[in-house]
Amino acid sequence: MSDRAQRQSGTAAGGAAARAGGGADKTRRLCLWLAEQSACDRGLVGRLVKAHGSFAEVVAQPRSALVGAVRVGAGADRGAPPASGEPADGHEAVVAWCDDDYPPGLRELFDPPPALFVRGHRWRAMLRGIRLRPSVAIVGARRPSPYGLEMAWLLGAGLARAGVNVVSGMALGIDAQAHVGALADLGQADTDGEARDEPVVLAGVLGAGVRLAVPRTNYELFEAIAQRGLLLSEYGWQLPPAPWRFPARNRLIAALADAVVIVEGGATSGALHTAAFALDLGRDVLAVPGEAGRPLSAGPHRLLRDGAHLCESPDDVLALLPASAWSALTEARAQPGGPSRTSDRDGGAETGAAAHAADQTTRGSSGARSGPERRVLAALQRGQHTADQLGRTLALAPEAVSAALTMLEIDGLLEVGFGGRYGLRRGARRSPAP
Amino acid sequence: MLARVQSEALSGLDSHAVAVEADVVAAAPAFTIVGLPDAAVQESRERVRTAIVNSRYEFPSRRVTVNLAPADVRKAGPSFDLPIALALLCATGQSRCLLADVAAIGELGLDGAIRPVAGVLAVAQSAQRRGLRALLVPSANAREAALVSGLRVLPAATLREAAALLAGGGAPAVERPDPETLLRDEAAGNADLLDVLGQGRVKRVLEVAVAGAHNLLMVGPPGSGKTMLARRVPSIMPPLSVAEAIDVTRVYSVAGLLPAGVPLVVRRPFRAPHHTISAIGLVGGGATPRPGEVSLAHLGVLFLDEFPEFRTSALEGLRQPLEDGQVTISRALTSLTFPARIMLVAAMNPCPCGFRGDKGRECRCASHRLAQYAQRLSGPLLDRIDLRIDVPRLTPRDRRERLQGEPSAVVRGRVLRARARQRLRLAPAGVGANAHLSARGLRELCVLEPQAVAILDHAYDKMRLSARACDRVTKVAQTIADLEGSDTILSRHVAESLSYREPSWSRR
Repeated sequence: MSDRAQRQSGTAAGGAAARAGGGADKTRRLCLWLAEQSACDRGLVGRLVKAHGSFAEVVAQPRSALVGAVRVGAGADRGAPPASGEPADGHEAVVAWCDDDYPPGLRELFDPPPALFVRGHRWRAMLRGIRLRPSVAIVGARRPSPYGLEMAWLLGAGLARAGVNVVSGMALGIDAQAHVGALADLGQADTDGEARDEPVVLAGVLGAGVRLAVPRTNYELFEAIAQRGLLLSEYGWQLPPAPWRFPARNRLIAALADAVVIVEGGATSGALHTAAFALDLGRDVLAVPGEAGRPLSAGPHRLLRDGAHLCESPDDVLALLPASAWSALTEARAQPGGPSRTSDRDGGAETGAAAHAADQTTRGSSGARSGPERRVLAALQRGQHTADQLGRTLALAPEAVSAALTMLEIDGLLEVGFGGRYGLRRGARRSPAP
Repeated sequence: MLARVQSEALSGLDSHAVAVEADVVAAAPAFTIVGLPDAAVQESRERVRTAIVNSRYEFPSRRVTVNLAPADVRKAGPSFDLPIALALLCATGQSRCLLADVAAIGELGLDGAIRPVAGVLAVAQSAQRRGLRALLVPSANAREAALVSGLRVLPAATLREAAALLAGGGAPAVERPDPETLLRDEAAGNADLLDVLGQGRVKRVLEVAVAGAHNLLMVGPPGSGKTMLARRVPSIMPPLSVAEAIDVTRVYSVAGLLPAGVPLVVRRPFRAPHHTISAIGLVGGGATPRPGEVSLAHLGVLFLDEFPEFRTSALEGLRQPLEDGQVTISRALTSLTFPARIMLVAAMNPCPCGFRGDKGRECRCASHRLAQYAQRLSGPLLDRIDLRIDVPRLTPRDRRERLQGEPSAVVRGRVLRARARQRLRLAPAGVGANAHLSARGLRELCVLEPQAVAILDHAYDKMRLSARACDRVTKVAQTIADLEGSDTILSRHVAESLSYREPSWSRR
């Protein structure tokens, strides 16, 4: 039995256990109560599961049997605002462990979140998307290199295009960039006006309340994800962040995903925690190789040494997803009344081909490209260079290189990285010739 | 009995006449100096008294009054020692003042030796202007004073020699330094651009910057060679002309920074103050206003390493001199002007820790620290810096290749030709270099080919340039065209200029 098939049966088991426990309502109330308590009491669920054997057993107990385990004022969160409460509007919802909407992957956790607080304009459709489609988490450094940003962007965009949900932690850097890439690719599909019943989900798992944009610099991205995807948290609506909640959040990222891709990270990066959780849960772990010797390559390279899969393009991730990962979607479509669509995977196969079409990038407002411009463009296909390196490899004078770089930059083909290193713009490499 | 000796008092870079009068009357012994003397002048009583005695003259045990006229101008510094002593000797009849139209300056040692003083060149110029025939100076300053033609220089090493000269004794001949000769071997000791490995692009930008007198900002990690490159900027600037050399020497002389035995500053100044400098130290000022580093860098390079680490007050104080080419210091009583036509070369790390964008090290700066760092440089200040570029760190391969660059002399040749073109074209606007063009002059005197205009418009749109940034780009493009010897600004000039407009850290 494949992982996913196992998970589907897990769903059924969880639901059944809850119902058998004497009324779904009672179980649900218990889950919400547990959620509220555990938001400020780290490890509450873990202790209860240890004591009772499984989470299904825990919620089968009466509340009075559980109250004793709650540590009052545990952690540094005394006086924190109540985690639960009513959803503010139609864009928010609470999904309890026993609900059918609850993401099945999370039930596999030893200490699953008793309830999830979600925010998203189409949260019901998004939760359905999470259940039906395979998900891939993209995590990594908060202060990545331009290369890391580009890889995160390409992976986010390629996977979303292939119909895979993109999960990440909404942190600065790689996490955010993966979603930016995915948004760029899905933005198009959304304007088609095609209402999808099984949308590709961009899921952001938060370490604070779902109404808080933490870090604030990502505010616009938070709003975009709320619009187009789903924000999830086990910490209520506006519980402020605490240092321990971010590593705890990483286990949800790993559990939600079928595979986890680590893009860049130092030797002690939080992304390695996510990878460890993923291994515990039996998820595939992939790592994008970096430049040898760079601090940011230490994390992925250690994973690769320990047997993680190599990830160079979205295709590497797609190839690793078993056919069964798509079975839920196929089944849903096979059902009468379900929308029939051609597989989104066709798009995925195109990603690689599109990348190879890069060399034909010849758009531009200034008409024909000069000789130096064409040569600089060709050299940049092979990676980032400083102006001096370009001048040397192409035997061009500094002034000629500078002029060519400007013309390419005006036409939107170039990006200047820190330290004066020029590279092709993300997307410029993929964009088809007009 | 009353005696009078002429002298000069410095105020800023100028000097004005001061008459030193001494009167000795039979009364209880006393020695008073009046006429707004500062502490150094008050102390000269002790030096004068001892020097007179140690020169085997007699100090009168009567009432001595010395007046420095005009009485309403502050007198500062030790340069009145010599005229006071001479006036006293005349007043007591131990010497005679037979020479008319002679002024004296000098500081006395206790043994009667005359020590050099600051600002002799300015004093000599002033003395010559007001029609004096001769100037009695410390012999260590003689060559400096001799730069001014039409003024007889009387060098004296001791008080006795000075008294003899004043009494009409024969003066030793002073060798008049010939500025032309001194300036000829200027290039000899300069650091050469050849010493710098790689960085061809930055060298090109230095050439453009110097050719058009543009200010320059270099952004790069520690060890990428910013300081080394900056130190070589004077080697590609046009050599100082005689008039310029005298202007620079005057500032150094007033600041007391002229090395002993050097009559003339022959190289363009290169000043690199530390970033802890105060606003007054940088711009000039103080109780007795002194030239700041901007004025010491007059006609040369002011290099500010760790640019954002300078005090905000110091950096903002730079705005006016960068605009006007001079510093005006206003006091309740007077207002002084120091020259400050500088080329600003600023250097900074891409972030406080210096490793942002570096391949080998991780940047450890928090994002708000990065924002703060960039914000320390105000818009109006950056607006005055036409060229802003990255200086990437050299890769091991760059270092191995030892790409042979050009010697400074070759680059300087191109700069000189470009400057000559500018002088011709810019004569109607009354400026000497493209960087100093006004917005109006820019429109009237710079011709862009239609394609170049199209690129500029396009860039204005796509790169979201401000109107001011467009002007900067045009000025630099004009300099690039001048370097190439082109009468119109071609599209490739504009394109190259655009690539120097902003370093990578501020582009996003």
